[in-house]
Parts: sequence; structure tokens; C-alpha cells
Amino acid sequence: MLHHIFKQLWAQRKYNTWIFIELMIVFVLMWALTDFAFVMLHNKSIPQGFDANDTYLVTYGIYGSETSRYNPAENDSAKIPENLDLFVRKIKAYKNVEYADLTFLSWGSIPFSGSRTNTFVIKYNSSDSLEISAEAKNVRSGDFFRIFRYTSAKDNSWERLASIDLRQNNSILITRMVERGLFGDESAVGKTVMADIGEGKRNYVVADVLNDQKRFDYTLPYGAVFGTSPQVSAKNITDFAVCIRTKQGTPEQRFIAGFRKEMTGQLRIGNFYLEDIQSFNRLKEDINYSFGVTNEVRTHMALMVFFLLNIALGIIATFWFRNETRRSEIGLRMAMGSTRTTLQLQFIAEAIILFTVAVLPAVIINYAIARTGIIGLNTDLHKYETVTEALYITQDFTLCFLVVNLITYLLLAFIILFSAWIPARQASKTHPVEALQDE
Amino acid sequence: MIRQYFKQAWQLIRQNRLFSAIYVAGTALGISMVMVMAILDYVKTAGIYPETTRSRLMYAKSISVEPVDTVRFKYFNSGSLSYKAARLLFMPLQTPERVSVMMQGADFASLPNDDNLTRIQSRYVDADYWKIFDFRFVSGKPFSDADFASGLQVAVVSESLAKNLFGRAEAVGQYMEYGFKPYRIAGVVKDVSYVMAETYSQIWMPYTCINDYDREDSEREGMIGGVGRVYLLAHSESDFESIRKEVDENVRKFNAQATEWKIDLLGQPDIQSVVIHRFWSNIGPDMKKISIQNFLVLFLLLLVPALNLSGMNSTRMEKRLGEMGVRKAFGASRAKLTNQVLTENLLLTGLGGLAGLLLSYLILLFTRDWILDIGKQFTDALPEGTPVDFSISMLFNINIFLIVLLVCLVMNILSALIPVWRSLRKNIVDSLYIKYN
Repeated sequence: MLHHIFKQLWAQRKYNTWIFIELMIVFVLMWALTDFAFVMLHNKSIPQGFDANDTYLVTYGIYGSETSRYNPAENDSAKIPENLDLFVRKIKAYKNVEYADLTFLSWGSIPFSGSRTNTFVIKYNSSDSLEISAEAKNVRSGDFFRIFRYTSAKDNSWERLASIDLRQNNSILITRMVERGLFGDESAVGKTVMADIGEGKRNYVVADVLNDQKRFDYTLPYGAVFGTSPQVSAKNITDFAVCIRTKQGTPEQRFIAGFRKEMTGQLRIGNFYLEDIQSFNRLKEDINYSFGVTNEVRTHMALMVFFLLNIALGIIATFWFRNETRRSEIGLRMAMGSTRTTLQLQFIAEAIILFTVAVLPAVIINYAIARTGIIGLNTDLHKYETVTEALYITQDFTLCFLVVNLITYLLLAFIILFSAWIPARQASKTHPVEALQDE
Repeated sequence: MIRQYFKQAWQLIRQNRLFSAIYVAGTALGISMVMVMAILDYVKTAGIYPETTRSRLMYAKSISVEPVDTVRFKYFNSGSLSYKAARLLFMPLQTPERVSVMMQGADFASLPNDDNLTRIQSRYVDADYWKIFDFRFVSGKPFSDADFASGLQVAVVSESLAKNLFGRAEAVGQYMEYGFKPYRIAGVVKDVSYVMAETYSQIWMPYTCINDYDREDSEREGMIGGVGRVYLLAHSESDFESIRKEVDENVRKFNAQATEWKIDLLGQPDIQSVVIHRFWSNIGPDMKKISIQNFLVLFLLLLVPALNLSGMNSTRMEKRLGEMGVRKAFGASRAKLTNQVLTENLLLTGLGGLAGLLLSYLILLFTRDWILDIGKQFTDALPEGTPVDFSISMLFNINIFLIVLLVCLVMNILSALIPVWRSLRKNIVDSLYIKYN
């Protein structure tokens, strides 16, 4: 039957040229789109390393001296920390709040902030020049880990981390990625490393190791280190904000609306006022949007749908009109004993084989594009930016290439199968006598 | 003659309903994507309220500085222009009709001493801003040169903000607080759509209200600061070149006397079609690459549906082979026949174009919250509660309709020419033979 189908396709090559070219072009385009989708989905499926559900960021504003609500009496260096403390305590007492604490904001210390600070972490007293790049985060108190639920690699708990006082013994926390990079299979706990977490390059002792974490939804995990933050004082008030974790399952919109309504008046303490409350999920969406990722995903999806629709339309059209020109042939086959099913299968097989033949040159084109980067696919950031090599499938060029092409093939084959089946069904309903009579 | 073609075409459509339906659907699909791109481009570049003078405007929004002494300072710096930079490089320009400086912000608006706070976007402008853009005042008027010079705390607000705060649009003379500072309302303007990137705001105040608007940063020769935009309104487009030359001359003069940092405007001031692609302060838009990319995308969006349609036309031409043979036998030339088929095809393509245009309106309606930000490498998330509206005039206008027409013609030729030409190459006898055997 296969041989027969090939003969058919070749005999009708004039009709088939258009759809053949289209299949080739669309395969190349779909491969590029699928490549993007594959990398994105793959990255999204990697565990975040913390849990931002049920968490909120509360920022406070301070009335400046030129505003109408400024109270100069509340502006001395004793009153300010006092007022801020009251601000935080009132939030802690609000209903449904499980944990609330003052957190250090600067340079990427809280999740989904737009900025980050990088530092190089080096083994203390090591002969090799091994440096691991990591994001430096500053933590004011242990509650930070209870709020965001960063987990220890040892027992996957955050309590363990929360109970470590980073201000003692020059402690620092690192993630698994840093540990692997510097110490290989050995445990890093208790060892000394050099890093700059905002106090200049200093030595720190590793108090615990955290599970790997991602900066954004769609990126690969990156190394990170956690150290102490400065203490809050009248001078650095604007470097802090309050983070909240509510009881699990507290509805987000209602909590925010209720908080704004009930606490705006209460939180006018001294010159402090409630500026904004936002959920971290919302902040995550906003940052994805700001970095253009959300729209990139949407455009790619829209383009995929567009090209798939075109292919579907093309296949339906080609095979439907072929029915009309091959009516006599169909009638003859049925008269000679072909069942309806066989007929449908033959049609579908023709379509799939035509498609497969078109895929072969297309894969070569894909390879050329991927290797030479003629058309920038913009996925390098998502595929490769991580610290240690060869941890993830996206970093293996050959494997990734084969997998993505396979997925593209299957996706298109499915659409083609379905699109060829519709006219095939129609054709199989032909009455042999009528068809032959037409002739 | 054309009428007869159309009549015949209409008959053909009615006889082959299925084919026509699929053909129109295929065309609509292709055209809708192209029209979405065309409408977005139109909205971003054509003269629309209140940015009616876009064709004569030039913009500057960032500056790059490089160290003179590369031993002491190793890195380039870049950022927004400072007031000093605007004052030295743009304000003394003679060629433009007007020069205006704008700064941006976001803060809380409220009634005096009220706890009901609304977060809004703001723009700090000068008196010339109102003469460059065409705002429509519902009541009151813009602040005067005198107000601006004295740094008086007056504000122009949008109609919806006035209604939000005071319950009605006639709010001139009333007081409100922005950032907890009092402002007297001098005028109320008709709402500006969020779609208008340079003028969207809820409140406009003189930038002389900002305490330190002209504060010079001690580093980088004070050339980097907080200015959002500098607008240059030319008398006409032909002045663009001379404006650029004048600006370059000012830059050269500055660099000649600079001791620590030299400046580079990276190709600015930009015209409208370029400024919408400038996102970073340290690197300018590669317009050539962008044009090629856009062309490629347009080409692919048209090509793939055109391939579908060509395939369908091929099949259809086969069926009409007999008819073509007979016509040729009666003396019709190949050119005449090609014309006829193309014209008939045009009717179908036209219907597809109409359907495609309607589909594109639907697409824009459902994606309006984010579709304007496509292709931006860095963008701001939509402020909470901001409605994005495409006004009627943005969607229904001569330019859009002309573009649809053009796209239809292109599509028509792409999808019909080759099949027709190939089928007409057969000689008469073969055509008649194939059909009737």
C-alpha cells in the first residue's frame, strides 16, 4: 500500500506542490515557535524554590516636609523607629495574618523584584580560581523564611532556616547550585566562603544550604546567597517594607480590599501612611509583563494558532477538492471492494506521508537556523543562563533540537490527520454507482 | 466589461458555495493578522487626539555619557536627560517652532486631608506643551507662562479625575491634593486614551512646582537626570535635517569644553516612527533590523495563507480548463483571460478582506489591554483600573481602508497569478481534450 501511495503522490505532484511548499515553510516556523514554547514550559516546571502564594507586600510612604500632612514632631530619630514598629505590630494583629515582618527591599532581596545584585562566591583558601556567580540577598530576620517558605535542602523545611540567626558567627546561607559548584559532592555546611553581600568582600561560614531557586517563572535556577541586612534606623527607612503571609487559602482580592479599607486610617502613624498592598502573585505577573515575557508568550501562542489554522485549512481544501477530481477513482475502488475505513485510511496516509516527505528538507533548514543563528531565536537567556553546566535538557543542543523537532512533527501530524479525515469521511460516503455514473 | 466580470464572478461564487466559503475564510485569516499590525502601527504613528502634530514632532528621551579620562572612570553611563542637558542642548534651538520639556511621575490624588487616595499618573510640563499638543478643554484653560514661571501649584486634570474627585467636570478653581500637596485646578481636559503614549495622564502640572527640578547631579557633568521627554515641534518635516544638525552642533560645543564626561545622544532627536522603538538609554534602535524583521513577519503572514489560496486556485483552474479552451478558440488573448480571472478572484479576495478587517477589530477588542505592548523589550504594566480604548476614529478611517485594499490586491496577485498563468499555457486543443476526457 505504501508503494502505491507514493505512486499516487508522485502522479499528482502538480497539485501537491503548493501544499508541499506550505508544509515545509510552516514546519520551519512551527519549529521555531515550539522551541520557544518548549523552553518556556520546561523552565516553568522547575520548582521555584520558595512559595509566594498567600504572601503580600505592604509598602509605607512617609509624608515629606513640603506636604500638607507632615508633622514635624514625629520626625526625630527615636520616634521614627517607634512609629514603624507600631506600624508593623498593627499589621501583625490584622485578621488572617499568619506572619508579618519588616523586610529589606534593596536590590533583589524580595521575590520578583526587578533588580538583583550579583556577587562571586569563592572558596576560602582555595588554590583554584573557582568562582560561582550568585544573587546576593539580605535578610533582616528569620521570619523572612517563614513568610516565603524557602526550604532547606536537608529536610525541605523553612523552620530550620528561620531559626538560624545570621548575625551570629558571620553566617551565610547558600543554595545547592553554589554548593555543587564550589564543593562538588561534599557538604558545604560549616565551610568558609568569600562573598560580597553589601559589606564588601568578606568571609562567611555556611550555616545551611537551600534548595535551588529561580529568579523568574521562565528562567533557569540561578545561584543565591542569603546574608544579614542592615538594621533599620531613621536613616534607611525607605529601604524596608512589610511582607505578610496570610493563613492558607485566604481569598486574595477580598483580603487586599479589606486591608485597604480597614487599615488605611489605622496605619496613619506619625508621618507614616499606607502606600500600597499588593500580592506577590500580582507582582510576579507584573514583572513578567514588564520584562516583555508575557507578551512574547502570547504572540508566540497566537502565531502558533494562526499557522496551525492555515495548515488545517490548506489540508482540508487540498483533499476536499481532490475528492471531486478523483471521484471516479474512489467509485472504482469501492466497487472493487474497498471498505469505507480503508478509503479513509488511505487518504489520511497520503496526507501524513506527504507531510513526512516535506519535513525532511525542513529539518535541515531548522538545523541551519539553529546552528548558525541566522534568525535569532531569543531563547539563549532561557536556555543557558544558569551557573552549572549540563543540569537541564535545554542546555544540551542536540537533544533539545531532536526533541523539539519531534514535538513539532507530532503536533502538526495530529492537525493534518484530523484535517485529512474530514474530507476523507466525505469521500468514503460516495456511492460507487453515482461516482462511476458521473464519469 | 468589469461589470460583466463581477456578475460572472458572483455567479461562480453562488455555484461553488463550499469553495467560496473556504476561500473567503482563508483570505480573512491572512488579512486579519496583517490588519492588526497595520492598525497598531497607525495608532502609534498617525496624528490622533491629542497628538495631532506627530508628523512634525521630534523627541529626545535619553543620553549616554562616556568618560574623557578612561583611567579614572571605566564605564559608560546612560539614563534620562537632566534639566541641564535640556537647557544646554535643546532650549537654545532656533529651527524648531517650539521646544518643550516634560517630566513624569505617579502618586496619590485626593481631596485635601482626605484618606480616600487614588493612585494616578502625572506629567510635569511647561506652557509650550499645550501649544504642541491639541488638548480639548472641557472647562478652564492651561496654566499661563506667568504661572509656569512662578512655579505656582496649579494643575490641569482629566475629565474622569475631576468627576472622581468632585463629582462633576466643572472643577476649575477647586483644590485637590497630589502627593499630599495642594493644587488649584486651572483646567479640565477631555480624557486622553492610554493608547497615546506621550500624552496619557490624569494630571498635568508645571514642572517648576518640583522643588529641585533643575538640580544638577554632581557626577557625570550633571547631564543625567529626571527629564522624561524633550519635544521639538518643527515647522515642517523638511526641517528635520536642519534640526538634527543644530542639535549635533550643540553636542559638539558641549563636548569641546567637557572635562570629565563626553555626551552622545545616540541618534536623537527621533521622529515618531523611530522613538517608539527606543527602549534603552545606552543603545539606540536598529531601525534597519526592525524594518527587515517587520517586513519578514508581514511577508510570512501573507505568504502562508497565499499558498493555501494558490493551491485552491490551481484546483479551480483545472476545472475551468474547458471553459478557457473554448474562450481561447473564440479569440480571447492570454492577457485578457488572465485579467478576467484576476478580476473574478478579486471579488472573493475583497469579501475575504472585509471579513478579515472585521476579524481584526475583534482581535483588537479582546486583546486591547496588552496588544500595544507587543514587541517592546521593556514595558510598564498597565496601572490598575486603566481602561484602554481604541476610539472609533482610530479603527475606521481612510488610511486603514486603503491599507486593506492594498493588502487585498497583493493577496490577490500572490494567490492567483501563478496558477492562472500556468493553466493558460496549455494550448487550446489540449485544454478541450483534457476536459472532455
